[in-house]
Amino acid sequence: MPDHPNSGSQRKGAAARPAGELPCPTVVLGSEYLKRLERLSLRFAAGLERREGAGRAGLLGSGEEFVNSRPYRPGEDLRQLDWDLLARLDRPYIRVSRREAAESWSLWIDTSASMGVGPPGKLQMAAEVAGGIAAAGMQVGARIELVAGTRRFQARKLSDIGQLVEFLQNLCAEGAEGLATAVEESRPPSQVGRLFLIGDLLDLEHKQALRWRRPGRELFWVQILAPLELLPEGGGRSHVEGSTSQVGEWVEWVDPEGGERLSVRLDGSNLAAYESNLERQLEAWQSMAARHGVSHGLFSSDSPFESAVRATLEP
Amino acid sequence: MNLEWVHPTGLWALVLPIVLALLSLRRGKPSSLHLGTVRLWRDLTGESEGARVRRHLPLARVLLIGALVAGGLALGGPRLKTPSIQKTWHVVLDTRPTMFLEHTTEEGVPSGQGTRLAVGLRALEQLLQEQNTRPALRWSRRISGLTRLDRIASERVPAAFLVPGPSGHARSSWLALDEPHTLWVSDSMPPGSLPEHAGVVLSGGGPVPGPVASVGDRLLSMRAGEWVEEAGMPMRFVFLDEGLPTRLASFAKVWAGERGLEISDSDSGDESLALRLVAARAGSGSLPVEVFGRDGWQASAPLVEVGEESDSAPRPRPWLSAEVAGDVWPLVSWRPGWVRVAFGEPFEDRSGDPGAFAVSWADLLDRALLSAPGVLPQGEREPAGPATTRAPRSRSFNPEAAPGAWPLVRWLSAIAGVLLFASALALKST
Repeated sequence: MPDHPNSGSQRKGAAARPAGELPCPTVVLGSEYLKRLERLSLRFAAGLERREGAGRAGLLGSGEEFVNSRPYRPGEDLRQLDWDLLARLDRPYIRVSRREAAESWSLWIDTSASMGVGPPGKLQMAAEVAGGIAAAGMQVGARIELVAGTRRFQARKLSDIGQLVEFLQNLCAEGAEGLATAVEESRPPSQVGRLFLIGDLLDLEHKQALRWRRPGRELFWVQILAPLELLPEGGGRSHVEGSTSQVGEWVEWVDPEGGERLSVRLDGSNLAAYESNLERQLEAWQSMAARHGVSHGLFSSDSPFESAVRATLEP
Repeated sequence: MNLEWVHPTGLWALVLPIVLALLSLRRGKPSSLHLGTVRLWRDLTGESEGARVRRHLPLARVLLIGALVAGGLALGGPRLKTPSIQKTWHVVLDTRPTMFLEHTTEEGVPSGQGTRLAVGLRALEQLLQEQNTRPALRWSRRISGLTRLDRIASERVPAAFLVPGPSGHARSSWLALDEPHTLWVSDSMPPGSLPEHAGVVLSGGGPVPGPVASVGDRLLSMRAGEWVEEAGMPMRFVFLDEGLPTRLASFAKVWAGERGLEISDSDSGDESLALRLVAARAGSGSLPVEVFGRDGWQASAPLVEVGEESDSAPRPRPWLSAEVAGDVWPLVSWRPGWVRVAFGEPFEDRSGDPGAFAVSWADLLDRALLSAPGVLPQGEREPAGPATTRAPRSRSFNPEAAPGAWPLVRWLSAIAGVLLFASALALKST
């Protein structure tokens, strides 16, 4: 039974910034998105069949390799009891296979105010990507948990997709508490085999991003930045409210979370230095991910969510 | 700076740079954009939280706005305002007899507006009323080709000026009176170049029919474009003074007979007297005898010294003089209707050419002979052309800085051009 989208407790923290001031604080997922989502999940289902038929491990992990144990719940298959632990601890434990662990996916979505930057909005892209990953997971029978700020949603059956989309649509970029706060204050269930951190990761230290890493769990960093932050194509033509600002113009940057305002001139040297700074940051994320076996993908919020989902699940 | 605007409606052009400036400021305000990577920018610029929001206009746009402002001001036609103190105009009135002729149309038909003088004075009054502040007037007049600078202060033309001067004098240039705050009142533009500073009020008018010459009791008139000879003129006389040398008196009688004039031995002073030929009276003592002459004749006679001429009557013009002991003595002087001779008997002709003597003296007597009443030379009855009115330049008007120099409008236009050019350069460089 999925949680109500509005369930969860209100966190304490920094004063929330009015969402109305942000360019793209909300999420809109229309019927077109549902169609695209359906096509994407069918694609993963077909891929799954091909891989299982060929005897290869795909999204579901590597089969009957036991990677963990958990307390026994009445009604469970007694063949999976961990007899060694029962004998040692005198309490029943169930052996958790790699396959079973992998079938529990947890998706953590950053809903801090910085995700309202755009257009297109980063939260919009994060929601679309989360929906895509969740749909793909449900297609292969994984148990899905979505966590966005104080809200949680759980689904397993494909019939839950409508409620999942509704949950995503109710997300709103606000406040200063993002994934960093979540990592510090929460802890995903131990049986989660795949854990996705979806956001701009700008408030997250590498150490925090690795805190939920554990044996038998795959970690995914889905990093989403707005075109305005990436300064694509030519460096000097940053996106400004749907138009472009000219090289040499002054821009007042506003930190959506702290409210800090910074006037800068978009001249060639400033833009080049910024790009260099950003590149160093992103390279650090990539090298950190490679070193610790984390899947890391960087996506612009104006790219199709399907490509981000495929790049994440089919590296 | 005390400015006035010649074309105040041109100032509406200033709306353009104002709108452009407002739009530019609106666009020039830094766009406030939310960004998740502000920290990266801050590391870059080193600016701290709360950095000042600045508005920046591109240099090219600032220059363009400046150019438009200068151009808009130039369109308004700014000029330095002359002090609003009351001005004084010096009105020089033409008193030739032609000014007292009836004003006519181009066809020579009376226009019904009175004399040319009346028409001119009405045009003057209208010009005065058109001024922001009615100028005070000082009046002088042109008489017989000369200017009498009376400078009589009066709102209206002085009554003494409403008397026609003698006719028969060729018009000469008035350019000596071409000064600021000076106004010429006549029927047509005087000969010579146009005045640069003085204003003009010209009555204009068509040809004026009437007598143009008289001989004895006959009149020659121009009527409806045709010459008409009329008889019945009252007889006119020439007064010959007793003290005249006999030879001169004899010649004068012959000359008068030729002109249809009678000789009178009494000075009646009335209109029938066409010319008075008088002799200067000698004082006591011996008179110096000198040789004198002109126009090819020469004579000797005792000379009479005459005193200073009075200012009341028109000043006589010398016709013949002689140098006596280093001084110049006027021997023959004249003015219209009057000739004075300052030598006496014995008068001896030394040239031996009576023809030269006769031609020379006949020319003098013809010039001094008064016209018959109502008779004006043909030149004075000719058309005066169109009416013209032009106010005089003010005294602050500087001819050096007028058309060829750089008044405010030109400065502003030049500034606008320079700024526009600089704007284009700035735009190109960016």
